[in-house]
Amino acid sequence: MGNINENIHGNQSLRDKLSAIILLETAKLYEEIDCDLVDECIDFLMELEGRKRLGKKEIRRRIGKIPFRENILKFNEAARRKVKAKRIAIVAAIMAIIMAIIGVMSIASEDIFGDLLAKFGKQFVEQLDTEAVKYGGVVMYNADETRDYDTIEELLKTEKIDMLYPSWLPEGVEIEFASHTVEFEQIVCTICCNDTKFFITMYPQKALNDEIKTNLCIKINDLEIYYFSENGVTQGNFVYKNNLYSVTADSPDNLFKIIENLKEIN
Amino acid sequence: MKKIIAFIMAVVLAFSAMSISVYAEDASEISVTVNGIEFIFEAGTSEEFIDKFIGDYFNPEDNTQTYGITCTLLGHDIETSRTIVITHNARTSAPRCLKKYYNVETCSRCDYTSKTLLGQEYIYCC
Ligand SMILES: [Zn+2]
Ligand SMILES: [Zn+2]
Repeated sequence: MGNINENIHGNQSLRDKLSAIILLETAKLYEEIDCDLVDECIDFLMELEGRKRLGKKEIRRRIGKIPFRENILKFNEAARRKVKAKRIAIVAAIMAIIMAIIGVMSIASEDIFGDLLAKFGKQFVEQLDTEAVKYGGVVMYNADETRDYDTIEELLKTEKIDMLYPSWLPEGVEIEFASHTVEFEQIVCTICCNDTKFFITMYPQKALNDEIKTNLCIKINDLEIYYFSENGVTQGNFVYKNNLYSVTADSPDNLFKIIENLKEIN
Repeated sequence: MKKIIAFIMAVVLAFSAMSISVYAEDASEISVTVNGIEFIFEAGTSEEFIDKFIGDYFNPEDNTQTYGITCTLLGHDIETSRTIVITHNARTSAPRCLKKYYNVETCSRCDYTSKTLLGQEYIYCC
């Protein structure tokens, strides 16, 4: 099992923090609750919980949008009593507030818990301090470890993956992740996007099976693309330099445009 | 030449009896077929993880995950791996088999697991 850049794929932690901010803010007196902050956090949380995966750029934009004021931790006496009264509720709620305090403290005052904060608060700081977090890049995955790159070109070059990559994708679709893995001695390279309808795989030294050639065929950039389109899935298969490619898109038009704009490193 | 050992694994799941065959390969990926669906796990994946993933795959509703107090307070200690799920003969004409790539997060301290679909393609295999 490999470690991974948790900021991008481990949204659970981000969700926990957002829940904590909401709980902490709503524990204040009614008139002191920062509704904008709560609204924004709830919207963001709901989108993170939603079906559509948010791209890294979108996550970064949303974090930047959270209207933080520096006094999330400022409880007055009355609010403290309100928090106290909430004890009747469930222990879990109090736990969440403790978690929130630890998390929020890490941006408020780094000295108080010293090492404890250094260890546990780090994640939170990383997620909210946009400068400390690498967003807008591509993550490389193989079974041993993951690495971040700013662009897919840089990733493919550095990892020495000789694979065609898309230079055009529909609006809102961005490359998020590339991988190089071995499945029972067959190397498989993938390029994944924030929208799972778009996906590219490459199997080195693999030929196109004759049966695939019974699919529809279109010639793009001198390549014979065998494709089918059904139930909202369009997939094209072709061989380039003895490597088998499979490109998946949401429609034939987008598939053809993606293939037409595939680029090679160097 | 691949050395393939087949053995039967008992997976206790809260529903109908299933046919399970497991192929384990030395320091290689692990392929498990349950009810005609093939799961490919990274080499070294624990049996516990395999049980949990397959159980969750067929019974996503039965998601009673318990988080330890450490995780409630500090968040999970996340480990990530890749899992492939192949539904053979999903289409009638070639390419027939649907291959889905998942990114799976598990917590090393508690029950938390979460899978995210990365992408899918039809492959030529059956
Ligand atoms: Zn946990
Ligand atoms: Zn098959």
